[in-house]
Amino acid sequence: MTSSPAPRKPLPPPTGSPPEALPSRRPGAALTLTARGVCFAFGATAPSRFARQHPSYLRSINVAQGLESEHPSRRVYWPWWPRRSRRAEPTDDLVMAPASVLENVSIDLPPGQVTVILGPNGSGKSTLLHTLLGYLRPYRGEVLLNRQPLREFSAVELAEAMAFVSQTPSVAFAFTVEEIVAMGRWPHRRDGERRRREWLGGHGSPSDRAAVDEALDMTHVRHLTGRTFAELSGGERQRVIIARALAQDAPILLLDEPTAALDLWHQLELLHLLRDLAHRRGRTVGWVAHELNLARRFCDQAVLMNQGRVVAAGAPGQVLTPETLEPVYQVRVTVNGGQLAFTRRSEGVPAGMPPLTES
Amino acid sequence: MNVPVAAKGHGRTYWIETGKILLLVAATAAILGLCVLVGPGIPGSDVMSLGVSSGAIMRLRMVGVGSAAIVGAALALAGVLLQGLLRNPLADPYILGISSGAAAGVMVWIVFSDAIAAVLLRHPWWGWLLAHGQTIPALAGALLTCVVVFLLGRKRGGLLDPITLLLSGVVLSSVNGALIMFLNNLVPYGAKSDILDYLFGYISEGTAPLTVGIALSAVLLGWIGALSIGPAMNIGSLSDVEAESLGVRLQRLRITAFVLAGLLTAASIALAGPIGFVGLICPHICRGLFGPDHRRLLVVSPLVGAAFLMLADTFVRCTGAWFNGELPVGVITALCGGPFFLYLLTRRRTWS
Repeated sequence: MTSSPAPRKPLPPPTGSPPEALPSRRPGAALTLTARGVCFAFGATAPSRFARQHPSYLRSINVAQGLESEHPSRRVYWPWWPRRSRRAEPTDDLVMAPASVLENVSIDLPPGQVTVILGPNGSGKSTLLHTLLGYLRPYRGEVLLNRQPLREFSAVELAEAMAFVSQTPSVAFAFTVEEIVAMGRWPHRRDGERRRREWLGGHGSPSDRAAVDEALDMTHVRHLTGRTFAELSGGERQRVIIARALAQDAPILLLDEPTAALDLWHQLELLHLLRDLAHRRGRTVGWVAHELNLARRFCDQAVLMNQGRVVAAGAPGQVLTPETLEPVYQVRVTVNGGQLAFTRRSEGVPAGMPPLTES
Repeated sequence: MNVPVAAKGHGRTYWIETGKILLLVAATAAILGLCVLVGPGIPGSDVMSLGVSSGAIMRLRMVGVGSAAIVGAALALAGVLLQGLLRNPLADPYILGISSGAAAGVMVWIVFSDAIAAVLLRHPWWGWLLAHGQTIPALAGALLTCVVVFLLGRKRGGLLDPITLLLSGVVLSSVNGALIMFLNNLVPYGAKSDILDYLFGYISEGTAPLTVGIALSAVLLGWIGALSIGPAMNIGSLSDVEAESLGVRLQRLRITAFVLAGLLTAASIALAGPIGFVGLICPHICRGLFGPDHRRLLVVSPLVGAAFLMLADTFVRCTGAWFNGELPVGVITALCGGPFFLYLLTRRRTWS
């Protein structure tokens, strides 16, 4: 990062605490990622600037407000160019919205903290992560990067700011682990010197190689470098993908169930690493998880979601209590020696499934 | 094993790979020279001659070998682009229906040329169209198919989706095939062998130098464009979310790759008709030799494709006397390519 040219819109200056144990190679720009009233539904988008001028859109608003009848003879076929009717006030509201996946979600991922996002299957955790990333666009509300809307950044600037670990990674061809991890350096390739070294598949600049090296060591995949993705086990693949995100060297790290395929030792290593990255390098870490006890131990802030809404958010001690968890997960939660323990709630059998008889 | 990557620099591997590429360039040049020199002295005779023939024959042969090189390079490049775009190792210009679209265009031309002539006889474009023979209808068919596949291959949000693209290509390809067979039955018996030749791909030595020049410039343009999206194609072989989170604008990348593949395929079809298997085999040979990195693949694949098709064309030229006239070169590529592809398929278990 030392020799990269300044981006067109420079990211705001760092405010995080200086790194201590992990040596820092870059002035860690501390970024806050905020979702403000985000609503998302598949197939629904906010009407574009042009669509909002279109007679049929304006008419639909007039019809919705009862100012105009819906009789087909009123339909405007021609002229098709923008013709504002007198009363219609274009809004950003959606006239017809399919069932929303996210409804009015507001969360704040501050730098220097690990934020864990929890919730049952289908509660909108991954969709929220994709929205935070800018991959999915909300039809209402917005995502802010240090109080600046995401749409004001270019794709490469966003990639410099945010790294992402997908729940379902895939690599189409027989790339080696080293090549996959080096792909994380793609957002940093604008430097002319790097470009020259990349010709015919070179290794990139020294800072690229240093970042790749460090990432390989952080996730303990150095011994896999020559192998292809298809040859690896599930946990090894997961670690390689995490290494790629770390090589991206971004101030914000979003991980979608990164510990799902990992064994116990690697789970703890990864979570310690995430906590160190947040606390010592001032990174912003967003982590989607199902392991409530691990989440309670390693996060600074927890967000509990259910059916597309935020149910509870705040310190883990306040969010991860039996009172909040029981209605969301439909299980009985007890606290046992500082650990949460879960048992099945006998009355909460899903509809259509016969109750099991206990032998 | 534990040497840090940072210490390696442009390590041994990099220079070995670069050396292999240089070797390939030299080998392709050698094959080009050899193919121009080898062939029957008099077209149609069974006298093989190695050495300098008369000037006119050499000139003709250079056009033929040059066309073969251009077509091979274009098809191999299009194959790499489409396989990368669709993240599918079985994609080639055939599977998206581009080739069959061109063939259908030519069939329409052959069947209806008399009717078209009756209408357009007095139009000044008629002479120009006639001068280019089947080139213009082939281009029109290929481009029309490209546009239709492109419009069908989008999801609701407008993002080009590999699976949808592939399926609409396969469907359109079979529709085109049916159209070709339908038109074939409208043709009187006398004209049929001509059509069959065209449907298998046929490299002519009598192509106008202008046509060859236009195709060459299209292929060079396509090559430059392909090299410029090479690094992004690597990232594009990840899943959609991952690629976008790394800062690649997928929609732009896919549209560029698709347009380039369409251009290259159309150029090759205009020159030689639909030649199969080159676009499927060459990318796999290149991946086996040089790895999956598109920055290298897009450099080497046109060379491999050109060498392969020049050899096939020379074989066809030299064996004309054995087979009642020259075989269509598409027959040779399919006969060599099919078994070789099966060999690769059985030897390597994983394609991903």
